Amino acid sequence: MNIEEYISSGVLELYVLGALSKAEAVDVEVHAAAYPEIAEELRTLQATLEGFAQAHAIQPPAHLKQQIVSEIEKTVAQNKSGKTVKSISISNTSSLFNWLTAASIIVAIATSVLSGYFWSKWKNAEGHIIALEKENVIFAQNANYQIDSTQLIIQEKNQSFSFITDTATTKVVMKGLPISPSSVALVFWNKNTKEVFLDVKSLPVPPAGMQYQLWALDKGVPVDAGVFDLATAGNLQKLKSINSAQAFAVTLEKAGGSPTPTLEQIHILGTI
Amino acid sequence: MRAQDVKAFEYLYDNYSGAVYGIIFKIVRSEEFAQELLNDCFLRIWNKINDYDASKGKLFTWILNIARNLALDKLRSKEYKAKMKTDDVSENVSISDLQYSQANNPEFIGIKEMVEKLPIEQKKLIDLMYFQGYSQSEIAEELNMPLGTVKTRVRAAMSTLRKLF
Repeated sequence: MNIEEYISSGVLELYVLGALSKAEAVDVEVHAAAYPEIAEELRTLQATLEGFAQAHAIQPPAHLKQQIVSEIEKTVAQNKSGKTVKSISISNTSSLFNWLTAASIIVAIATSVLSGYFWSKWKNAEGHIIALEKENVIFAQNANYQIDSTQLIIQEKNQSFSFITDTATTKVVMKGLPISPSSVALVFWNKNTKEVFLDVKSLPVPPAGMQYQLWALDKGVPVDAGVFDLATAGNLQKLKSINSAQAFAVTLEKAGGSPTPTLEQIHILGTI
Repeated sequence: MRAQDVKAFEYLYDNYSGAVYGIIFKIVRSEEFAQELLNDCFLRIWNKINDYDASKGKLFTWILNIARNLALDKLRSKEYKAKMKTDDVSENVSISDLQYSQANNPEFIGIKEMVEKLPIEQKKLIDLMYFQGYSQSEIAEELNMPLGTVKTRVRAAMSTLRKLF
């Protein structure tokens, strides 16, 4: 900014004469706070106007002083609680110092505003970092979970594989009876470990409130091998261990299973 | 503490009441209004002294601004306009002539003559702005001159005054 030009523009004179709008006046005060030369010029103009005002001085009627002072004393008496402390400074210290003070206050305010701005920027960045770190942790957890579950699946498959390929394991193919001709499921039974695994290839979805139940037939006596759902079809399901069997069958029973099979509901049957 | 405050206030009054009364009188041109305003002005100074901000200028300037603003508010009031319509204008003029001989400071006696040295346009500008509260654009309109000319003239007028005070 050209300070000389600003000073000679006449705006400072308009300011001291009170001919500027509020906004224009504030603009002058900001300039004065920022540029010592402008503050000095303003101080001189104010001193001129003070002299001009002093030159127009008229002694007011003497009785006015007593009237005003007694009004002041009245307000003092009312304010005995002493809420406000009046400090009247009648100093003639160069107002250049005052302007410098104002300038330094404005610089201080500007600095704190800026630092506030940067602080919030920094705070934002910090927030981003924290968010990213959290995301990273979640991602790592997910990845670990994936790895873990994959390993678990592999482990299960390996177990299934070794179970199926075990020489003591017998595969029984259960085929559909006339009630459900296209149904088929496999039973893997290990004579040593007694474990039973079921692999459902195809079975109709059971009606609501009904469940399929596997039976082992040992010397003509049906032994409960547990109920199962189709939800995990395609995977091997571990059912109850069976000590001895010559055949396996699946019936449709009420949910939770029955103590004895409903013979007319045998869907599939397979013999060893 | 309180007694001291009142004492400080009296000091303030003794030092500035002359200038304050002079400015107020020059604006409202009526002793009745000027006395009422002087009272209002010093009460306001008393009540608002904590608002005074030394960084914005001297105390005297602050006091003058309060006085001027109060007087200009009065000048624009309905009460003032109604009252002054019925008063004889010549009476006010004679009082206003009186003021300079009553000046507080002996060194400023004869100031009228000095102010009269201002070119008539410059004097009018100062009068309109400072004593009648015209804004720069109102003056430009009133005197039918560009805003730039108003600024140049005001600067010239203030520079003449600067030599005087």
